[in-house]
Amino acid sequence: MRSRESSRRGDVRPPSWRCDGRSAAEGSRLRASEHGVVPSAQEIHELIHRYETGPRLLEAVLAGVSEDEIRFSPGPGHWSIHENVVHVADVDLVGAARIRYLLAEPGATPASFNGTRWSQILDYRAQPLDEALGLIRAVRRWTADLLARLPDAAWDQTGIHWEQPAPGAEPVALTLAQAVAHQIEHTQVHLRTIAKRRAQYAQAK
Amino acid sequence: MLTAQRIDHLIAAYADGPRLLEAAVAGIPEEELRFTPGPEHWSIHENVIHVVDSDIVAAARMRFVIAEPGIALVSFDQERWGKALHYRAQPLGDALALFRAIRKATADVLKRAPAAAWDQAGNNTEAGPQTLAWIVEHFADHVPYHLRTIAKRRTQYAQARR
Repeated sequence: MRSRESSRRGDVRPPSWRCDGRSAAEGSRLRASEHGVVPSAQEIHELIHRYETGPRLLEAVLAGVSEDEIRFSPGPGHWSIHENVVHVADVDLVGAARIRYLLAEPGATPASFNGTRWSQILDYRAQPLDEALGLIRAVRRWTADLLARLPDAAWDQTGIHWEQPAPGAEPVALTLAQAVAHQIEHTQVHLRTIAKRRAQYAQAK
Repeated sequence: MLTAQRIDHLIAAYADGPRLLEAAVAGIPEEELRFTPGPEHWSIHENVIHVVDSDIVAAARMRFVIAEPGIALVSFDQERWGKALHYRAQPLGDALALFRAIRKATADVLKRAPAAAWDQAGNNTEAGPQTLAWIVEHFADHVPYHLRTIAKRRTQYAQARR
């Protein structure tokens, strides 16, 4: 995945940074995400499994990390581990809505949201970590239930991407497989940021 | 501007939804949960799944309106969702767990929102401007509305079994 925050800007967030950008539309590494190709049963199984196990990966990297470290930020432009997790919860919530719009009303989808604004105005630092993790677990459990019941052909169903080019340009579409892959890879991006914060914290101490 | 008392009341009504819904469906046998008086009517099971799926959208809308007022709130067609998203096949237990998690986390977001945010609105693509206060009240009321349908289904089921 070539996501803006991971490949070009590290985890520095300029004012225009929108974490749930168009990384999925730019092409996923997963073969299952190639438009026009219905993924195999094994690829679908793998996508659902990776989507569903995301919360466990987050819980594993957070286990035993002190409150001081979870709150550590290397500078004002950088999210702490705590803020990264609350952000993942919000992206998962909106992502779950997007998956449902894609399946039921492929011509509609909630807009992209401004990750930086949400973190500031929704006061991520004050939101409890356990509630964010609880939300991620429940959203993924519930959405995995849905994904597991879909016919194979649904995985190639397309909806409109939440980030669109300028008005008048050809709309960007994405498949269900791409939308699910986006959620999986978004968590991976933040797991890497969390690992980086841990290293930065160790150095700062 | 809403009074602090009104805001507290709205958040409390919203946060109480999962308790009300769980109490309403507790102990209902599977056959009754699945009963429908006709093909165009949702069973109790489908009513519950609908409440929870709608809450995913509602929780996202609340965050959008607080952080990005003026944004488009995309309306959704509940009949299409019920069919396309396999409401009959979705498990009730996971739905109720998600409902608890969403309302708990979102009630916390609402408690921390500035008082002025309650008058901020998004633009529903079908219904026009909707303020945060309206959205929270609407989805708080969404549970009692479906509790009435659930009570009606229970009566219909009892009558059908006579």
